[in-house]
Amino acid sequence: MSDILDENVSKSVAKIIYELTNKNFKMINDNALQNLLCICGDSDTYSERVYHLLADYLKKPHAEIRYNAFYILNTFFRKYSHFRQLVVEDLKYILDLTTNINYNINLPPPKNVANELNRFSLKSIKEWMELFGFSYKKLNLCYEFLLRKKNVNFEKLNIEDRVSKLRKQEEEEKKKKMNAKKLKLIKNEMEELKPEIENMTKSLESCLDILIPRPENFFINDFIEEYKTGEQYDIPNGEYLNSEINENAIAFREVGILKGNFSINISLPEKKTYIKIKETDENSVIIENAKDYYKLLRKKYLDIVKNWVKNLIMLSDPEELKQAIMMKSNIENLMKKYDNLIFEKEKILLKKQDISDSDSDLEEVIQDSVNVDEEIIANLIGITSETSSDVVSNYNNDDCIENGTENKQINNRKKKLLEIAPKLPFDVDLYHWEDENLQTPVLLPVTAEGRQFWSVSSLEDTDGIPIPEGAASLRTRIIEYTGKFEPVKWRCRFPLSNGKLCPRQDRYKSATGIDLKFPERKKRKKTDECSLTNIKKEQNTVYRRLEKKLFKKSTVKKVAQTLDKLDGKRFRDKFGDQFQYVHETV
Amino acid sequence: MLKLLDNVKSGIKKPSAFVNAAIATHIANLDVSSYKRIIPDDTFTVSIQNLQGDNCEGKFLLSGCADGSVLLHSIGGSCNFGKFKCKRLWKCGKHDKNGHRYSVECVRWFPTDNGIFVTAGFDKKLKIWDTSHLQCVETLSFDGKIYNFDLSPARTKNCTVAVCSSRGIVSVFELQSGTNVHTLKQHVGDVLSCNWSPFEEHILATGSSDNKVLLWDIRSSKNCLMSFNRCNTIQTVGENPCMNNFTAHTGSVNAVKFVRGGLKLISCGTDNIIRLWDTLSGKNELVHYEGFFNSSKKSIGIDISGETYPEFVFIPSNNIINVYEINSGKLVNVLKGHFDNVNCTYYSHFQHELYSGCTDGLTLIWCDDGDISRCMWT
Repeated sequence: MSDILDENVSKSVAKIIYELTNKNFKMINDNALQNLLCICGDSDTYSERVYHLLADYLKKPHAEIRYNAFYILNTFFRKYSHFRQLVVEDLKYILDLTTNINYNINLPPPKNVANELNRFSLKSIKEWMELFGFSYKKLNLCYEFLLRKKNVNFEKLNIEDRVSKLRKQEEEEKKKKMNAKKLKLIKNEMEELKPEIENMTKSLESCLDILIPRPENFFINDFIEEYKTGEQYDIPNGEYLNSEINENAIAFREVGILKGNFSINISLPEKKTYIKIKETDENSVIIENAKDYYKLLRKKYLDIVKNWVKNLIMLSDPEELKQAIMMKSNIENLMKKYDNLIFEKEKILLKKQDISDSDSDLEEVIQDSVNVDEEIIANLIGITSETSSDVVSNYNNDDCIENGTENKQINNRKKKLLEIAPKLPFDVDLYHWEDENLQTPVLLPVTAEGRQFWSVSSLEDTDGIPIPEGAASLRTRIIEYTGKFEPVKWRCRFPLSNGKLCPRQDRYKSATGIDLKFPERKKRKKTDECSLTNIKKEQNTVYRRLEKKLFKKSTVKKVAQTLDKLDGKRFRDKFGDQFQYVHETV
Repeated sequence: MLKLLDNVKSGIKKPSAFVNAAIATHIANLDVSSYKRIIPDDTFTVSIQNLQGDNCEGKFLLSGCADGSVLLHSIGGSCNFGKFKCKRLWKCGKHDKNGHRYSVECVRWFPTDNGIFVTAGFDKKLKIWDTSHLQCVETLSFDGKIYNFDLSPARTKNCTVAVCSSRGIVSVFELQSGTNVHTLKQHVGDVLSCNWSPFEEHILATGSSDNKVLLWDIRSSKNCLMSFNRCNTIQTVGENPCMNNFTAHTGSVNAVKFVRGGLKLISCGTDNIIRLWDTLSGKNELVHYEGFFNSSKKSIGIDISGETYPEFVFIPSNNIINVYEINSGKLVNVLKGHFDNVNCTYYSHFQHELYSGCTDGLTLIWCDDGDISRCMWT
């Protein structure tokens, strides 16, 4: 390549750079870029030319242009040493234009692209540093400057604000202090409550020990009856029956080793085993004590201990945490043990002690059983009770039987609703409700002389005349409208385009004579994806427009004048009649 | 270069011409040194306000930091070529017994000797240190914050110190006795910079935030000698030069420096202009120095290449350092490598290296690497 600048080539270079930079920043055309690289080749003059053009574009007040320019600059930087030299000389200038390091100079809008540009430039400087840091001292200096003076985090690719960093530190310290305080509080609390809880757990444990003695002290086992609901071992059959059994497997099976492809799933149904304890005179005191302890532990101390564990996990204090967890597990084990117990009171004994209580219990039990019986019977036989003639009650009862006790709630609601619903007396239509072959009603003719005398004609006409409405008359009931009718006296009276008023008489106001057709959607103009984003459009906000109008020079002047006038007037009104102020005010 | 060498050999040109040319090419090729490096330590993030190397051997570099600490680095001396790590020899922090409480704005070595150095800062104190024991010998208190001070190099017997402080006061005192000799009160704003003439022991130039650059003869402290006027209007005879409204800049002047053996004076202002003045006539030389930006509210440390012809000046301009040829105003070199505002520069005549201190706490060493590699080759 010749080092003399060819006019045509330089023009084409300028054109390509213009096209490349004035595009959406994600649409950069690598082909065109390669073309540019080819044109410039290794020539110093051209790379100088390109650099100056790019430096010009870097100054443009549009982040996308800057981004594109920096993108090209980055590719050139990696290729040509002379270009590198130029860039390194002007690094400060480039940094000012492409990063946020200078607080006085902000990057131009749009904001997202500006952020992207900042990240991109920091990233590429890091990469440049890794690639060319050896041979360019100023690049080293720049990197060091960014790292140490400007607190650039090259990992996260952002510039950490020193103030926010300090603030973070302060917050952390605050948190630490708070945590220490909390820990101290918890420790104190633990120290206070620990003996109490331990006492309580110990006494509950001993209570339970007495109630359910361990195998070691087996001799008081007379009181205990264990009812274990059946533990069944469900071995899923069929799994190995269906699978092919090859010879090897059989051979192994004879030895007692199953091959790997065999699997037996044993599912143990988790059914709780309850231990029933009969309450007698002897152990009633113990049971009562145990109950009290249990209540206290469950309602008060378990929550406290759980809270401790939760907080200590957060505060990460291993020793205290160990203690707290021990306590918690201890208490929970006891709870489990206790929950497995069922205390059975001896009914006869109780009856003697407290008659009224037992009476009510007995009554309830009896009633329950009766109820169930009735329902079952009703269900079985399918009889509908016909005790009430009232329609409402009838319906209600039916429903009750059909849905059983589950729907009691729904029935309650229904009852309520039915109470509100208007009720009509029993009438002909209801009388013939399910009568399917209803005969047409007949009107017996009344002769002139009436039924007082027998005549031939009267004997012939025993059939009577059928009523014209037929059977339907017996099935219908007319309920008259009870409200008042208000005729529409008003008109719409909206001024129409033909000069008349809208004559429509709607009960409710209509939509005013406007053409109600939905306007067709305007087709959106297809935005050119390649073009730059419009910054002016983004800046054209409501606030800006208002600002323009309100703070226009002429408007401000006008407002000031009026205010001045008002002031003057007020002043004149107040002091105008006093001699010494006359000269000043007029 | 080789042609010049031939010319020198044949006597057509003076040998100094070759030296000058060599230095000129050296300065034009200055870049971040890849051989020498001052290792930044915990003070990395603290702004370096001022630095100066010693005037005797060029072995030590003093730097004053914004947190009140004073650092002493070894920079190797003239015989050291090749790779060299500049270690920190000593540090006097804010919390040390004799340390400055606030930002150290100015550090200076004694002009003829390594035994003494002086530091001053915003804690209104000027401290004189003994180098061999690294202890504070004397502390002088002032009324205002000290922006800058200078030790007169020409005065061999009694070194005088001019201290620029806020409230427009320049105090001159003798280092030997510690007595205040003169108080120069003509400035209205804070005095940001001062410089003694390198040859005439009584001549002092001061620049201030009232936009004025005044030239003093301290033998008559009542009035200043001259107030430089950027418009070059002629001063009427007999008029008090301080009372006129002549200003040297349209912004506060935060650097003044005598050049060319005290015949010319260079001044930098926050109006982003560098001006060159004739110290005898007080005329503005109207040299244009391009590409200078200055937003510092304190003094900036500029330095000159010294007794070479043409002479070069190193002026920090935001995050770069501009190297100008003083007479023509030509921008010889632009040193880019700092990423924050540069506060001060120091050109070492021993190693022909430039040291620059930056707000980001980094001190960079600039030299011509090619030159060094050539030296190593031979």
